[in-house]
Amino acid sequence: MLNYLIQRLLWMVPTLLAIALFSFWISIEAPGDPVERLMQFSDDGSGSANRQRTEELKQEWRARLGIDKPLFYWTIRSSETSFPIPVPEFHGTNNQFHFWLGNAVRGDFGYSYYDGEAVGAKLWPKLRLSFLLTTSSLLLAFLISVPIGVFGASRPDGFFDRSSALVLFMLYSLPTFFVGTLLLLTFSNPDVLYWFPSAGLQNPITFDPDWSLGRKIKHWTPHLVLPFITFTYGSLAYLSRITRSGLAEEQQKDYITTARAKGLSERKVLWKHSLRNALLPLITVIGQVFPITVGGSVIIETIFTLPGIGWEAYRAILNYDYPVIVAIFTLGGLLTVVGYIVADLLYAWADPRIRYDR
Amino acid sequence: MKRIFILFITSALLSSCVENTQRSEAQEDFTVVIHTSYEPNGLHPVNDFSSLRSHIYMYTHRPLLKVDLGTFELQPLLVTELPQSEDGQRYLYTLRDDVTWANGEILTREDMEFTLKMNLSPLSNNQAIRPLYSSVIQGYEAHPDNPNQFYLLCNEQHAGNNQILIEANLIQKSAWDSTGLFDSIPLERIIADEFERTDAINDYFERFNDASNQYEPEKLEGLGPYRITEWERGQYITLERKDDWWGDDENGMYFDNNPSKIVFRIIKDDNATLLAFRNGDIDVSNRLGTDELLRLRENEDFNANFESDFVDQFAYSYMGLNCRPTAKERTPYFTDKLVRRAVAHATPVRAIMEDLLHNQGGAEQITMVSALKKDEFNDTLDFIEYDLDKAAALLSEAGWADSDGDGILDRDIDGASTPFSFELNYMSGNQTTEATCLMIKESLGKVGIDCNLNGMDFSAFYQKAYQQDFDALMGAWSESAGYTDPLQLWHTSSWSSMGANFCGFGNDYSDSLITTYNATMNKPDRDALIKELQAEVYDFQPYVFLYSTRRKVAIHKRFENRETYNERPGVLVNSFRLDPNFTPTAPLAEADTAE
Repeated sequence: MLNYLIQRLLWMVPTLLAIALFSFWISIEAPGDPVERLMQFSDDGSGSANRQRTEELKQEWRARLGIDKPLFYWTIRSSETSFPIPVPEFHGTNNQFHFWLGNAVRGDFGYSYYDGEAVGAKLWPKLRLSFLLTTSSLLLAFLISVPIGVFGASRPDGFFDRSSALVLFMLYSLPTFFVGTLLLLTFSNPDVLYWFPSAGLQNPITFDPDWSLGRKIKHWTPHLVLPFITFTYGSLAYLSRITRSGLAEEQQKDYITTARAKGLSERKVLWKHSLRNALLPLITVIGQVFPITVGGSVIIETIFTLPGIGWEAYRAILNYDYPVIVAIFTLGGLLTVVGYIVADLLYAWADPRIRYDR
Repeated sequence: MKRIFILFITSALLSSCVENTQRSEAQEDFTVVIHTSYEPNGLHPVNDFSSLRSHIYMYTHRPLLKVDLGTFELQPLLVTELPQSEDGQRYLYTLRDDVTWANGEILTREDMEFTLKMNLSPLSNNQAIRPLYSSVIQGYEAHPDNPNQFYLLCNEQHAGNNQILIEANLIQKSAWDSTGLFDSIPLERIIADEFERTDAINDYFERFNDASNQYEPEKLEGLGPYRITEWERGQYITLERKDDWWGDDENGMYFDNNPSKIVFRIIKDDNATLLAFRNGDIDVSNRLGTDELLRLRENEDFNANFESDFVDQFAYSYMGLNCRPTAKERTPYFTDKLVRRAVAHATPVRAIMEDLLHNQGGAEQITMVSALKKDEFNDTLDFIEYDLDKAAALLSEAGWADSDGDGILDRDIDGASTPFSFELNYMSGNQTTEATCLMIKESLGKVGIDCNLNGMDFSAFYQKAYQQDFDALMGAWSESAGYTDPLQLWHTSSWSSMGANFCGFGNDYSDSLITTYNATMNKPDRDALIKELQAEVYDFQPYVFLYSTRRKVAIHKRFENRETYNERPGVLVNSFRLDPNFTPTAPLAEADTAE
């Protein structure tokens, strides 16, 4: 198991390097001069005498951002002979990629073009909210969908199995933005039902920053109900059908027949023996929760004006804020790799037949 | 019966999830919530300059003087009278002696000098606006006898000299430079090219430009009647009325401070915004879209509770035609005045306003001066009518014809047959702009002009514009109610130096008009000159002027003093008072009942 873990972690390195290279390439290819974007240079239109000084300032900023260095560890140039031959030129660690990678490893993705704030400081608080929303809604989805799947598998093609499949697939086919908007217009609308607030995480009129955490949670909860439902409903059909089909398959196997022959109750057979072996596909979904934190919340956070990472991604795209976009992309890649490792470890825990040590 | 009871209880419980947001209705203690669809990128007193930042600073900060939004006249705020000058270059300002900072310190001329130093320093991260100051201000001089007086020295006699400080919000020297680092550095040295930078100065500006100074409330203290107390990123910004503010005893748009709290609430999604209006979560918006307001107006409760309007403003959209392309790969499609006029005739401006703005979101823009400025607008210039026949005739006169029968006009340029197939650059992301481009493309196609739309990121867009590397572009400018210097947009020097005169308008005559206009202190004479410049622009046709966008405003009827203005921000809520006679309809009425 330990060997496998080490092996997987080592495999992470080239994957992450590939992600980093791709992210770096995006940041290099992003249109516009980063210095001009950050300093918001303009021209007074009269051939300013300060132009030389402005150029000096730009050079200082370039040095500060590390973009005055060569792009990579080496570059290829043509030899200055009559017959041009590609000649590699090595720059050691004094290059933009090394500088960028070193900073990225420390969580420093530079400064936002939009407001000049450090990207790391800007994203971490938002990641917390999105992660909380994603994990808790997925947990709820598991709590609901697994019993539905088990119940459906216990009576395959029965009334409950068929009707639940119909309802859940109908839900699954509805796009998130549609459901979110529908919920908003239904449960946050004085003309229909005014049960939940329409936007934001807290009410600026009533919220008091000095409240205790419990009081704050009480205040935040109604604001999170509709986003929470929007996040959860989509996973329900998928998870319950995976559970149901996995269990149905396990039910046909010899060890279940043996268990039944030994006189075990149907409940024990289902929950104790079949379910554990049917868990593997569900574990795959757990691995996906990490990248969903970054990518899956964009629409929901925008509809409900929640200050999460999805909202930040949306805003960054609208404002062409490339350092933030690149940071979110890199984070998404990192979380995907982490998710796969977590899923692999859970496979090993759930299924003793998987002998990673071999 | 039991089920109905359970349903009722459940519904009641869920309804209690929504807090009663009914604000205190006492005249001395009420809140106004202003809707905004975006968050300012920062509120730094020197470095940031978004329109929302300017709106917030209307309540929290004060410059020495400001333009009255109603009369467009200059109004003294922190000075006893408007600046005085005998020669139009050396202006005497007299500070009021009763203006105090939040910590009780009196406003001094040293605060003003420090504010100028920060605004003019090449190390401040305000590169976009610093040239505005540096092109006018030459120096600062303390009055030898009166400690409340100082002189502002200007580079030359210029009509805009007395207005140069209307956006320079005062910052407190003791709070920003407690060690007196800048005491021994005169403003002239900071402006001068040989400004010496020591490590201490570099360190200072490193801290001064830090992003924390953009959003931490305690760093954003100004001389206005309100202070920023909370900025919940991505959600709202709260301003609270100061106790014992120095201007409490005065009245007027820049002195009123009736609401105890002003909240800027950020809601991006259109549906959530509409519901927030319906739920009573928003009181005022000056940033609605045309469709959004028209949709809101379909609701009876909205109309009962809110007054809404389309308000003219000083901003316009245009299609710029590159009259003097300098980039090698650019074909000189628009160097001929006849072609530019033909394109103007083939641009369906009224159809755009009708289809995209529903005839309410915009007004015709004829030239670069708004028709709202009655003294300055040249009303002898006529709107260029949509006339495809005339456009075709002008193009034919200019030598363009469809010689190969492919439906696209062509002409011999530099010995090669060149089809009239140009690129129209625009900033992608705005639906109205994109739809406008499509309408223009379709219409130009009818006269045989192939218009290729090229949506781009705004930085790339401006890079191409400043480099004059474009055929045509979709742009927009906003001006102000006060004095506007035409030099930046219309002088040839602003073209030759790769400035904002992207399209290359101008000749010796128009340049002399601009120079004389700026040097003329007499208003009627200046008005005549700007009218003549408009005629020149009209004749040259560097732009196809499209429309002036109207501001969409909604204000809750529970307030009195619901004035709207043509000038930004269009609404000032600090003058609002509660209307004791207003009877709310649902849902506010329901909230009252519940209470």
